[in-house]
Amino acid sequence: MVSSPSTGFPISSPFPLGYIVSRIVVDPFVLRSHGAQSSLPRKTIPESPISQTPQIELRPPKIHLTKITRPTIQSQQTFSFYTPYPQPSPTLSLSKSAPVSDLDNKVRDMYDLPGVEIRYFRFDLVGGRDVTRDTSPAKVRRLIDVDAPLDTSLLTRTLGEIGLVEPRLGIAFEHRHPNQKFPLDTSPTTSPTQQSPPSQGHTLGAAPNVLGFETRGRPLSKGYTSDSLGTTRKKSLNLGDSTDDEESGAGRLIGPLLPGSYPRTPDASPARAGTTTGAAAVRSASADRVERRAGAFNLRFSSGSGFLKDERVRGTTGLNNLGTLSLPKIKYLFLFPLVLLHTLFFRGGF
Amino acid sequence: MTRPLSPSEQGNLLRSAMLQRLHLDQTVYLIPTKWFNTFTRWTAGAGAAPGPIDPQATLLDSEGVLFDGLVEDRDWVFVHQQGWEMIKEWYLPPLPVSRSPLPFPWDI
Repeated sequence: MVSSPSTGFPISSPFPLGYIVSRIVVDPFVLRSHGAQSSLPRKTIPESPISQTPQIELRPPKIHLTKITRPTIQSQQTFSFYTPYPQPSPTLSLSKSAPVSDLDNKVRDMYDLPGVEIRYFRFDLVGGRDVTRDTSPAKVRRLIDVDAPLDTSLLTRTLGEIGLVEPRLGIAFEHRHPNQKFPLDTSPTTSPTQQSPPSQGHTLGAAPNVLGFETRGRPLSKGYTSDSLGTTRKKSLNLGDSTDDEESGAGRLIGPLLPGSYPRTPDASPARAGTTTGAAAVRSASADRVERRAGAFNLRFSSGSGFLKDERVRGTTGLNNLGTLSLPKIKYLFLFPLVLLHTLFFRGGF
Repeated sequence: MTRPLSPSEQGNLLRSAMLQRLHLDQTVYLIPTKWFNTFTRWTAGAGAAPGPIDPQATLLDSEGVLFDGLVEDRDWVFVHQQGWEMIKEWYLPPLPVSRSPLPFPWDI
């Protein structure tokens, strides 16, 4: 006699009652409805909410549901590293002409949420985006527009009327009991690093607040003006002589003016104006190149041009951009007595 | 026991069922046009008998959503509830032969 190893009951018949019951109850192939396996039913819906013309709804919305839950608060009493295995999101296939109450009832049944207030958000399913049955507020904020929940206040409206028309879409929902807040309203919107104001300093690795340095109360696009013809031309940046810049305070942005230089604007360049105090502005490399191309190089140093050799900017890059301090040669007349007195008093004579 | 219908009789019955008027909130069933063309040729005395309908492979993707861009009469036709009942009666796929016997419950 053969006996079962687990129970020890003798098996006297090749088809015991348990085997027969298991064949009927467990085997899905016995009870499968073949007609249902091959059917592709679709409902006829009106073409529009005010129309009575039937239309076959070929692609009814297939809705992936995910529930927004509060993250578990770890405390000394309840500290757990247990992470539940994420379950796939349940799906609903509802007609676009179905009322909102159908969606609401099905969600309440599937998640066992009777008598609570539910707020719905829709999101697009892009590619094979994995949606789980439950999600956290931080994750769902990347998917939904928190400020635009679905308007489910009127349960007689259709799903199409509230915007659920795509064949694949997702709905995130959250619930609250009376006198409680929704999970999205209680969770922080950003990380603590982003929340700290700039006046309290910066976290290591965070980007500094450079807004004040970039603008300094002046719009960045000020150098570009549009004339009446509609064309945009670059307005040269006047660093010292322009009055409008002084009025707007832009001249103070650059810093102190340097001696031995002249402004970049071609009209105000000393080579053309002829009478310019060299200690008024800064000369740029582009202005220098333009001037060299305009005429012969030696013309700049000719006496007829009115440009003194001592006032010429020796260079435009590096420290040479500072220019040269043009002191008169009469300075030696003042230096000579000083050297003489120093020799007499401190060194005891010649 | 009822006499099995001839191909032409099946064709006439199904085509008359497909001529019913469409109403709101009605359930219709989509059928691949390829199967329906085979069925029509068979009822006319040409071609082989159509096999079971399998719209899952030709009209639906892996998630059970109808392919985008399908066109009526080119890719699918629809029948009403009455027509679908006929098709189920005539062309249900045969019951699959059961696989190996399940083990005893106490051996699982």
